[in-house]
Amino acid sequence: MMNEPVYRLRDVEKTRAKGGVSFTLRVPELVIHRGEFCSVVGPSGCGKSTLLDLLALVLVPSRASCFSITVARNQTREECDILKLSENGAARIRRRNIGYVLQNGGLLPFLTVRENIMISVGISGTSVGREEFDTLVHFLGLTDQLNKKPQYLSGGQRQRVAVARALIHRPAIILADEPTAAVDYPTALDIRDELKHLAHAMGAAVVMVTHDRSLVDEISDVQVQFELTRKTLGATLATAIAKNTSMVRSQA
Amino acid sequence: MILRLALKDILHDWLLSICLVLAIASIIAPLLILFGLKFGTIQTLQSRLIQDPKNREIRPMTAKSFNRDWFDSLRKIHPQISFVVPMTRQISTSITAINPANDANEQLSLMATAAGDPLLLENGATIPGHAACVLTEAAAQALNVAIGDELLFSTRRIIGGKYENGEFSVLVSGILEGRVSSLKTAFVRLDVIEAVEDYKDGRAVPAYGWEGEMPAAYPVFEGAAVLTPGPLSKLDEVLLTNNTGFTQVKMIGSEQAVATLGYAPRPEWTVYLATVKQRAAMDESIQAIRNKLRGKGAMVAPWMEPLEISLQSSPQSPPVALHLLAASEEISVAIPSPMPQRLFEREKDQRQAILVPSDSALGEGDAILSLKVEDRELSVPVTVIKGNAAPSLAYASAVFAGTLNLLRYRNVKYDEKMDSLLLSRRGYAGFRLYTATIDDVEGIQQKLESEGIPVHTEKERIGEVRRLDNYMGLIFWLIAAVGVIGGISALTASLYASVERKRKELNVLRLLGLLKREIVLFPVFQGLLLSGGALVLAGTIFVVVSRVINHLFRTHLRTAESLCTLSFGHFMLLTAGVFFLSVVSATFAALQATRLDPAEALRDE
Repeated sequence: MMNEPVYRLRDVEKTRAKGGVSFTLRVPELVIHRGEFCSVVGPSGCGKSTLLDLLALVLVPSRASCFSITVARNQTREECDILKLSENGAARIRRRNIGYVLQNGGLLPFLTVRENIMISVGISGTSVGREEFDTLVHFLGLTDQLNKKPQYLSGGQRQRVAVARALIHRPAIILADEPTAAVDYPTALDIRDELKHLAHAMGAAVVMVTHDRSLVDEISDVQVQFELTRKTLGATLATAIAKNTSMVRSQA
Repeated sequence: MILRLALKDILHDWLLSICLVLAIASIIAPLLILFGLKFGTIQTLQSRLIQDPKNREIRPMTAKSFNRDWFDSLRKIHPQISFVVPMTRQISTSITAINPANDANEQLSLMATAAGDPLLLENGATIPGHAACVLTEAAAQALNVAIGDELLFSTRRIIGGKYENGEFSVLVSGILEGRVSSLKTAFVRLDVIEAVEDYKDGRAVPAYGWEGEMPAAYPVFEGAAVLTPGPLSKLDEVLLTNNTGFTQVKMIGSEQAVATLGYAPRPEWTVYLATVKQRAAMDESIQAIRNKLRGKGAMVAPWMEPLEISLQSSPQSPPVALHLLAASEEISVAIPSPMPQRLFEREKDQRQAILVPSDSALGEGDAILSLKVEDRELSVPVTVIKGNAAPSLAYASAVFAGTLNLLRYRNVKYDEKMDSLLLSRRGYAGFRLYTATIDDVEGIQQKLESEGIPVHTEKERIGEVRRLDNYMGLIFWLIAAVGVIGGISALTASLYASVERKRKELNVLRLLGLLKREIVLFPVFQGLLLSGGALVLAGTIFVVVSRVINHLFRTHLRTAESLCTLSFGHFMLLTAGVFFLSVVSATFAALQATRLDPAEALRDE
């Protein structure tokens, strides 16, 4: 069960051109299994976000020999070819299977903390027991904040609400885009641990993008790094290389 | 769920939402008021000014004689004529009005009016009754009278070098608004003016007890029956048509005699019928024939085409239709059963006698005889006697039947006071005419002038008024167009801007897995909620402002009129338009906001 892959990418390429400068991300091989913690690290502009957007099904790859996601459907799990998905099809998969933690929380300012968390439940059409909700909220230390609007929360609290919103509907995949960039280091560690712990408890795979390797080195099962090569003056190629770090760590 | 989210967002940003609602309402409300005025009574007031009876008036410039038939056919042929009333000669319309309360007296000119006169009806007066008048404001002020006061009208004539005064009293039933005319005028029914004219012409007016000549009706005939002891020579026959007024003479057999005369003389008489072609024969023609046949032992009786009459014994009994013929006392001796003597003798205070068949349903005694030729009608009280008349025929003395026969040619009326048949007036010197709209004036003017009647119209004024109306209309639509276009752009722009502000939230919702159409619904719902609120606000403002306007101008309005009003349909149309714009602009803005990849859009912030 843990070995079941949720993402399978081979020779996936995404080229983006902006203002005469083109940037190509190439992923020769990337497989992420259920329950794995995958970190995507590298400096700004190396393609971290592009990779995450591909995984979030909001970017369509320019070229791919294989790009599939395994999703829950009718109580069974099946592999789904992303290249064949429509925009709405992608959105339907996203709402059920993916939890997204945004860099600045991405909370809706007009909803309370409770409503912000529960919106995932509403959109995904799942049902969540009260106990489950309370447990999650308690674990993240948000019990007293539930009726506040996000503007009254601290950065760390906001980020925790975002984590709760990404997890509440029990998705198989959690994508986190620099979830700790806006908080101090100790809080970042806390949030990272909470994310890892909760995802692990649910058996969900986590893909966490960060520019800070030290934050994820010791807990990653898979780590993606980038090699940048400048092909011509205006064209950059970034190759994403996935390393299985859990083996290294367990050996050490 | 989307609707709930949209509502929560609006409430969260309540200050901005209120600004937006106010902005949209301030776009819609002035437009509502502008259109409210356009569709309200201001339009009516405006058209009332444009279609002022003064602008629609047509008067002949020369005095001619227009008979009643001419007026009738004029009305029939030209439906554009909304009102026409005959006028007498100018000279007979001047009268002295005396206010008995303060002895004020003033020369007024009389004007004829009748039911439907727009000059009176559209200037705050009703059509006066028989003994009433409507005064212009100038006349009322000069006499110091108010509605409900009594006035004495006095007219004067010279007969045999002596002045005579005819007086009658009238009730002031209305006073026209000052703008109608600065002249001192009294509007009365046509028969009042006719009476004044008759009086000034020296005729009697029994209705006012004024004495003078009587315009008595006279008998007319279409022919004469001539009975001779033997056939006439050809020469005598020709003589009968020579200068007698008759144009044709032919001998008729006894069967024909029954058919045309209603009786057959004894066989020893030869019967000739002399007839006219166009003009009716009068007593002189009958006398002329008598003279031509003097000494030949002939008898001459006036003959008329059978006249359709109906007799009714009492208002409840059914009328009996008969054909009236003229009976002659002279010929009575030549027929087997003579006519009753009562037919030819009439004592004072006795009614004219009518002989009807003895098997008629009518009882002997008093009855009302009525007849109608074209649209001329006449009713006379008579006494029915029964006798040997042929079926469906009735007889009256030649003089009476011939006088009734005059109705075929001109108007005759029965005067109760004089107990006699009088001639009605033949024609009128002028008229006052109003077309239905100012656009009809020119057509009617041309028609009348082609008939040789030069007329006066307010042509120049009509041109000016029409130009002014066109400019006003143009200006209104320009303002409306600018307002509507401005309203559309402002509404679209504000909603678009409000969606732009929501770009981040929309993309977060997208990342959370909302479908594109759900994303679009979010701003669409918001647009509808905001513009709906704005509509309610604008509607409230409109209701308040229109109340104020209607209150301020209430003195200029008739009951049930309001200056500023819109129908339910207009509101529906407006709501549909605003909602449509909201949906379109919100959809467009939402599609624009979600064009980029959601994650990228968020990172761009």
